[in-house]
Amino acid sequence: MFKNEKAFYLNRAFLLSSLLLSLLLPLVPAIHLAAGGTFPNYVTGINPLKTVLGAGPTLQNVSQPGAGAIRHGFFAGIFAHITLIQVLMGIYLLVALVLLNKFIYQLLNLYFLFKRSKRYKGEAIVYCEHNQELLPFSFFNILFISPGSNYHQLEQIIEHEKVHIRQWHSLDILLAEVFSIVVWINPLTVFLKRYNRLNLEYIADQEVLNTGIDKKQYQLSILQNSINPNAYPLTNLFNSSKIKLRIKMINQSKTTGKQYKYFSVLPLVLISYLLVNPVIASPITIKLSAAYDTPLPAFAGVYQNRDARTAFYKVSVVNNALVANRLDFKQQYVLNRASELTFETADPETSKKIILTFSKNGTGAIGELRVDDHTPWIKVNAYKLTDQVRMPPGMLKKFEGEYQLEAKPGTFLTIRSNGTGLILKQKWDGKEIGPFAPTSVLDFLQMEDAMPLRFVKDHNGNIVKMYANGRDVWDKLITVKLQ
Amino acid sequence: METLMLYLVKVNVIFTILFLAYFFCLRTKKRFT
Repeated sequence: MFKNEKAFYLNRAFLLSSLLLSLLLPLVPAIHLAAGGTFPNYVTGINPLKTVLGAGPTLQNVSQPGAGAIRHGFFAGIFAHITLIQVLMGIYLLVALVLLNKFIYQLLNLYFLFKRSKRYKGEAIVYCEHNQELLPFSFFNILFISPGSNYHQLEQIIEHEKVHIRQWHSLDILLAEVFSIVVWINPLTVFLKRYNRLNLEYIADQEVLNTGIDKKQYQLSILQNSINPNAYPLTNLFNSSKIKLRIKMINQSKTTGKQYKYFSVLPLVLISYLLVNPVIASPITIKLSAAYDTPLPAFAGVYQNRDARTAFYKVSVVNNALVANRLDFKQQYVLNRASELTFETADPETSKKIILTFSKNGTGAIGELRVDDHTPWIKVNAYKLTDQVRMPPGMLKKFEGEYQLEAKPGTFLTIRSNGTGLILKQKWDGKEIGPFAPTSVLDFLQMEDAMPLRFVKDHNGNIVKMYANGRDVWDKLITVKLQ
Repeated sequence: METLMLYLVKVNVIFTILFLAYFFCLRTKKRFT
């Protein structure tokens, strides 16, 4: 193998790997230098993207399915819900869709030509004879030729196309095309397509010359056939790419590059990865988990939700780990310590990360727990679990109706009964939250997220208001029947 | 939506780094001997 040829193959491998790495590396999770969150400091200083992108979707935004919108929303109506990011992404996807259409159209064109052609099956190659005046070109294992072609004259071209077929060059071209659709916004994709194709031509040229074909004759063939335009852009065509560059490359006797260069760019992969994934590194002063100032037993105890008074967490130490159990609902989390007062766990159903932050009271003892920055859970000395309340369907009907956010008129939700509890539907996005089980005559609780609803009656016993999360006030709309 | 945007930005960053490395270091340059 000539030195040049080796470089062409390495270049092909590098280009293909670049595409695959670009698509896959962002999906690889960040490196945790210390297991179990022993060294939890996030080093954002060496991750410039952090400042550009922010921290990405925060846990507050993505955790607690079903409750997020009502907890953080309630500010917006239908239009206020569309963010700038959504508009920009909409435009981006629209352009990608147009490009995808164009790509499919080109593939279909090729398919129709294939269907219209007379086909002969050769050894691993399908020969397609068509009526168009085109130079031979290939697509995967299909070689398109026109019947008028002088086989002897086109022998070199066909040999060239066979190299493309044998080495699956169409795959590279298609991959580059698809990639350029996905990241169309990056102008470098234009060069990617050009250099990918050019490199494949170099490979095919070199392989043909290796068979002993006269170099001058071959170059002449390229020149003679350089005037025919390519009607099928996704295919390998003999005269595609820059003729001048190819002829220069044919006459080049040795590569200008050294192979160590390929190894020298390998660290770039690591650098790219570190750029796009937050690095979790140990702090300057290493502190062992056993050396935390607050020992695990200090966190143990029962915590009551400030707003949903019937919801309790029991935190205890089991096998040198902290475990949080919901006493009123079947839910258990094993907590991993992330810092002095912060613990992490994952939702067993959605695998989303949940952060539990404890805080100390005036005496220095642990007094409060927050799950993902939501309503605090206050540490209590004594607790009494409320028996499950059963409410007849007729009584539940009284809570049904449409409610309007007092702080933002025009924002509505509806409440309906499902026979045993209530279902809440946000009208601005159609999202349903629930069921809310009754915990008292006027209190309901969505167990999983400990999200309380408290209703207020007027002197006639009609529901007039509702408090969600003990914070947002919703007025019930009165339906007036006209005579 | 934000997650998708973040992913696309990351893809672009990695691709730009690797392709520029290819363009400036690895691309086979023509040279007559």
